[in-house]
Amino acid sequence: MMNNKTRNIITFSLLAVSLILIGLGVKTGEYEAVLNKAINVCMECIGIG
Amino acid sequence: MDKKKGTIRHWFQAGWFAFTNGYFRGYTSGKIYTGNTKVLCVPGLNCYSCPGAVGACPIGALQAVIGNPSYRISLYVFGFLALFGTLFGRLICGWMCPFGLVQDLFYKIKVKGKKKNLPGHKYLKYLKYVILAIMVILLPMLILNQAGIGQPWFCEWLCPSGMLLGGIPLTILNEGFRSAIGVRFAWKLIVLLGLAGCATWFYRPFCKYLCPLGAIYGFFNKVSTYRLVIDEEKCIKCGACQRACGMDIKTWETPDSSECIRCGDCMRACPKNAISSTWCMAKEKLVSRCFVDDTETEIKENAVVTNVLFVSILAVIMGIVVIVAMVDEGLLYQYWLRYSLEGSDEIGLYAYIPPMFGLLSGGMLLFTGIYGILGRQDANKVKTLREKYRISLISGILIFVLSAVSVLIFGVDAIGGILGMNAEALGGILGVVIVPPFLMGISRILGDSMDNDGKITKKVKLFILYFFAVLFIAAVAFLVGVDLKAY
Ligand code: SF4
Ligand code: SF4
Ligand code: SF4
Repeated sequence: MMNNKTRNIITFSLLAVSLILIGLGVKTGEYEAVLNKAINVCMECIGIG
Repeated sequence: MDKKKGTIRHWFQAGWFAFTNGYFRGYTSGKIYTGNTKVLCVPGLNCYSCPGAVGACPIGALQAVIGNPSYRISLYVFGFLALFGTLFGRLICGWMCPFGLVQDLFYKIKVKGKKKNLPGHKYLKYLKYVILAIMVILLPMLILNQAGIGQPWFCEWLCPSGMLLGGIPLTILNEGFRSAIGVRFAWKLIVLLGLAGCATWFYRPFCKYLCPLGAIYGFFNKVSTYRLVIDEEKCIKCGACQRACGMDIKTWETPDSSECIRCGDCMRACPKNAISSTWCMAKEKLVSRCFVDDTETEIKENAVVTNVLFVSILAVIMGIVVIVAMVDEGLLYQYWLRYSLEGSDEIGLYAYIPPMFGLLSGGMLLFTGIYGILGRQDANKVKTLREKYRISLISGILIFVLSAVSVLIFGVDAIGGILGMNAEALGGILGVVIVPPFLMGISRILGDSMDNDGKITKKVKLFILYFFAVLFIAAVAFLVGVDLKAY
């Protein structure tokens, strides 16, 4: 098993990476695609159409 | 105590559901919420077509972006998944997923012949990875219509959460949807009912075999900040943990199994108290925090004090930010709107209510922070109550991260002002930020009335009730604020 220190380093790097990914997604305007999908009823989700 | 701790989990699941699906008007009007908070993903499999949902489902959002001709790969949603996964791993499955809760409840129904696993469990458990790869990623990416748009295959054919939270309520409430029911609706209803039936006899079949979100979070279980720790010296390998575990995990061998939903049943079942959980800390530190007895040394005591100090300082900062923002973006802005724009008489005095609410909360936040800083030494009394300490810590971390992310995201969509964020975002942040310092304050006040061995007393129940009351008020204030803005 990994020791605790290695694990914590991985964990915090992953946290940083995830925030960067979100930031990039905001920059590329991807968040708008998500918002658009989320504020309109998704016909596939509710099984219609 | 055992039973009660399990109950706390169910209350938390229910409270979380109410919090993330708190747009009450949706349930009466049969329309879904359309505010800006839906740009944020929620951690669990929570359909955004649920009339009350205030956030986006990560799996739905992932398919939407993958199927979108301008993107095809979603950094944004993967970012959220990695963030939630790294912080919590499958703690989300145990504590923050509506469909997990539903299956837990079905499993409580008393029937004969209950079993944990379906036959073929050993192989079936890999099915969820196949579903993730094929239905969530490959099909939406590769099978495109004329406009180059891919369909969300998982939502379309499998997801029971969409049917339960979105399909059923919307078709009941909305005549238009009702008249459009067809074959797919029937199919999804059969899937939902089949899974519900299955969940009565087997523990969480959807989570074990089908859920792509659980599959993703499973990858993170080994590196998430929340982990289980086995004390090898105490463990006698009796297997009581596995017998108690609905997911059928040999906890003492694989505490970081990707199937573990961090429900905590094994911890309670272990006769030797050999299993504990930790938030990214070395085991020794954990033991010092959670099992302190009177003979512990000074350094260990200070760990708790430092924590209280840290949260209190954050509370003071946030309190000041909220107050300034509410005066500037809220009150002064409304005042300016009212007297400088034509036809602004229609805005009405209502518009002052949300910022006043905000001002009040900011004040309370500031007060709690100062109170926490001044009285931090008393925090030593808190440490004996493991349960309480954990609740405050979990909510604290969760909520501050949420608020940080919302600042990050709404900061971009700014309408100006010194903070560079709009009033809605502020409402959202306020809603989530106000809770943890309050938790800290209240748990500190209640601190000295607890049993040393961590028994749950009446006061803790009160405290939990209080927690949900504050959550509830914050959510209502937030939604009222957003709604009024629309007029
Ligand atoms: S496996 Fe999926 S449905 Fe089950 S609790 Fe986790 S996210 Fe929810
Ligand atoms: S129940 Fe406790 S003592 Fe028994 S095997 Fe599991 S961890 Fe070890
Ligand atoms: S190993 Fe423990 S925490 Fe994980 S699912 Fe099983 S009982 Fe729950």
